Amino acid sequence: MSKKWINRLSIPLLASTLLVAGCTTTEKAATTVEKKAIEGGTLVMASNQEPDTLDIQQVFSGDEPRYQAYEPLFHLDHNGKVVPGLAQEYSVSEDGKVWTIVLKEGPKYHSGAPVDAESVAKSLNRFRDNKSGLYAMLFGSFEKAEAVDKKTVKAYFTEPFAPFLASITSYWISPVDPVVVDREGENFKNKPSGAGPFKFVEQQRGSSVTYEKNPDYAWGPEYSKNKNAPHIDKLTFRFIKDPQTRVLEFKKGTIQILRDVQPAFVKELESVPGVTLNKYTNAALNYIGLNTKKPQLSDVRVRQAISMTVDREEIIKGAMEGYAEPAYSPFAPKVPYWSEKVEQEARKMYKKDIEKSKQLLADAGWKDTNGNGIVDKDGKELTTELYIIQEQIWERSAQIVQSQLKQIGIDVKIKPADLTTVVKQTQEGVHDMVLFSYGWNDPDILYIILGKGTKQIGIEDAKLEELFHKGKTTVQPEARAKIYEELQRLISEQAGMVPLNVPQVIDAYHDIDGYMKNPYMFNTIFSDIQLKK
Amino acid sequence: MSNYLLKKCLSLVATVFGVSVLVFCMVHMIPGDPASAMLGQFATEEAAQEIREKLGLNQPLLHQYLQFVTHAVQGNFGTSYFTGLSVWEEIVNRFPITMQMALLSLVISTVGGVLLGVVAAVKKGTVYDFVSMLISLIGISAPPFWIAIFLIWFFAYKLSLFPISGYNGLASLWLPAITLGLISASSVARMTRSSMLEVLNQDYIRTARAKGVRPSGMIFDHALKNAFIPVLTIIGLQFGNLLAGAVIVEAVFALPGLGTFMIESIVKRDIPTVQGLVLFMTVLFVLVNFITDLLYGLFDPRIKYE
Repeated sequence: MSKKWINRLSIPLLASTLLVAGCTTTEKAATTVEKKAIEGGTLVMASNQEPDTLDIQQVFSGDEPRYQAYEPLFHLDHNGKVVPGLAQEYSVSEDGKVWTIVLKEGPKYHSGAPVDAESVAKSLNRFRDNKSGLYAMLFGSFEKAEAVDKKTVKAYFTEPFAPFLASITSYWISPVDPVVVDREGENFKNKPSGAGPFKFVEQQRGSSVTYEKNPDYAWGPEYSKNKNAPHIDKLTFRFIKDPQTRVLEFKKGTIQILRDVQPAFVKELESVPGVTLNKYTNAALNYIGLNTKKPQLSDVRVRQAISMTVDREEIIKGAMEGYAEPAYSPFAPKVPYWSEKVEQEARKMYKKDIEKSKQLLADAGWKDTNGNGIVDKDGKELTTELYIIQEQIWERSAQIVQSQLKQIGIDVKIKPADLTTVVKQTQEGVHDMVLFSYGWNDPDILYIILGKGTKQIGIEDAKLEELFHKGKTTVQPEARAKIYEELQRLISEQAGMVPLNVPQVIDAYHDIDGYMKNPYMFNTIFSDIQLKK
Repeated sequence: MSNYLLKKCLSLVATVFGVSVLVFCMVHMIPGDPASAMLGQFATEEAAQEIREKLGLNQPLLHQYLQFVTHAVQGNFGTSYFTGLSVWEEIVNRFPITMQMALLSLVISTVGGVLLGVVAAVKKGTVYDFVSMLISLIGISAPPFWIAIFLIWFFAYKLSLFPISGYNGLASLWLPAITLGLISASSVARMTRSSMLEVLNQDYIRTARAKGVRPSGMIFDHALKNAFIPVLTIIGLQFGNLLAGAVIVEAVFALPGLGTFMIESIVKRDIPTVQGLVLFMTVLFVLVNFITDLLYGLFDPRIKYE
């Protein structure tokens, strides 16, 4: 009896082992039945990061899932030009301290309340009182907002604040629904409401956020084909951390749009029939920040030598599978006031040249006296610690930088940590070098890296400070362009930042019609999308 | 027995106290603080200072610890810095998913592991023994995320038997439970095999066989029951591993359980959540070990609790 019993048990066990060992990878041939665009249905998008809260004025992470219920005051169109959103036009006073915003007639919040001047002023003042992490970047010297009449809002500043234009063309400053804010108070973050194309339905913590279409929506921006309510009935964002799982869900068809495809998966997805990949250049710049307060990096010649040795192309090829553009100047090309002239100058100045780099190091007193391959000065070797975020792209980039700098005798030790740690340690100036990324629709954001009192690069320079202040407080675009050209050149010459590249963002989609991504605001235009069945 | 219970309760309190000190020190020692996590890289130092003040992070550590303990004793783990939701509520919401998954995999690993182990011991040196041990070797050496991806690819993507990821009732828990179960079944199988081999060589087994006890009765009533005590210890300990393994497996299967919650909270330095979660898991782990202790008496009446 026992013998038989064991035999019966072991055969399926054995069989399943063989099955596991013998399974094959043949893909089924694609059936090419023409699918038609339909009205309604649920669109599912995979996202890797869940927003902490859905109160647009508090959250800064989580991307598209966080802002679907909101409509910004202005949009940037496909050429980066400011176009109307909830507001029709804006003007700035002569002294640059008062911004006047004139609202459109017609838009309504989800509660049914009209988007009037009073509600917009209230919303701006609420942002001021919330003190989010983006306050300095978006609001600067903001004092208060007031409704002048039904359609006109005035925002007052204690000193001119030019970056406000970027703020009002962003989702962060989207007006929040005054009725729901009053009703929900602290709980508004769980019941988000604005004047956007979608209404919030529910959030399942750790799994998904779901929206439904706002049938009353009729104030879509110029760049979207459909200015009325979206075609789809529901929009769901699913949060899936593991990239492999995300790709499998997408290939299975349970997800229509896959955001932020990692370069490593591009080839695999390109081979799937019916899948389209959309690549667009980001406004963020990857760079190495050099802490000039550290003795080995205080000499500008050493920093220039580093910039001249780092081979941008090799990093793009080796770490990013080719999906990035090389960069030499401290702004990404999509940032307003980026100067192509300075970019070309920098490209020439920091063209890879090992001999010249070695010469610069030698001029600065760094020579390899003991023949161990590492240059030294006064008995001290040129050793640096490079802080990075522990992710594949950064790790690979860092390894390439490490081997390149070795060629001129600089020893690099890589220190990986999580984002929070890297942010904190660079704010305290613990690092020698850091591999990082920054980006925003206004060049003033550079204050966070190079502004007064910051320790990431720590250059104290009166000229630099003056240009920063002038850039922030000059409202006229032509005058601002000149200031930022000068600033861009100065930062480039000081070489506290070694710009590396501007990455491409890759999205994949299938079984939908009308997919389009705004190349300046980086939002998917969901109103235009139709499911195909 | 009551003496034993009292002792156990006291040791539970001591353990939880020790863990509370440890977790408090750890979350305050890791570099990077909640303020920089909350505000991100674009905030100014003044803004960060303001947040630290508001959250009470500038208070002396001892003061912060005492506050944490007095609240925790009252069952109040505080609210998350980020979501503003009650930590306890979030734990209660996510716990069922992790618990169901852990129990399911405990069943898989116990049944599977013991059967494999018994087969291997009874058929020692044959191909059955070899195959059983090969399976358990794979289970021990293959990394959990790899097993998880493989199971997803084969059973969910290719055969469409289960959903790929996300939580949608019990169907979503089979693959994660099998992943975890396979790993711990391997240890259970190995322990069962060696323990069984030892018992099968005992005199009383020979006596039982001589007196004509049926082989199945001999294996399960006489041998396995006696060989089971060390196996039970392993199963009890495996429960801790299952909770730990949940961290990886939940991430791969996108399950909103305690494991993924823990990782996210640590990355964000959400101190109240991390502290609450660790304490919760500690109590759970101690309770499971306590139950294991009580079960010893069930299998071996000679064991007395005093």
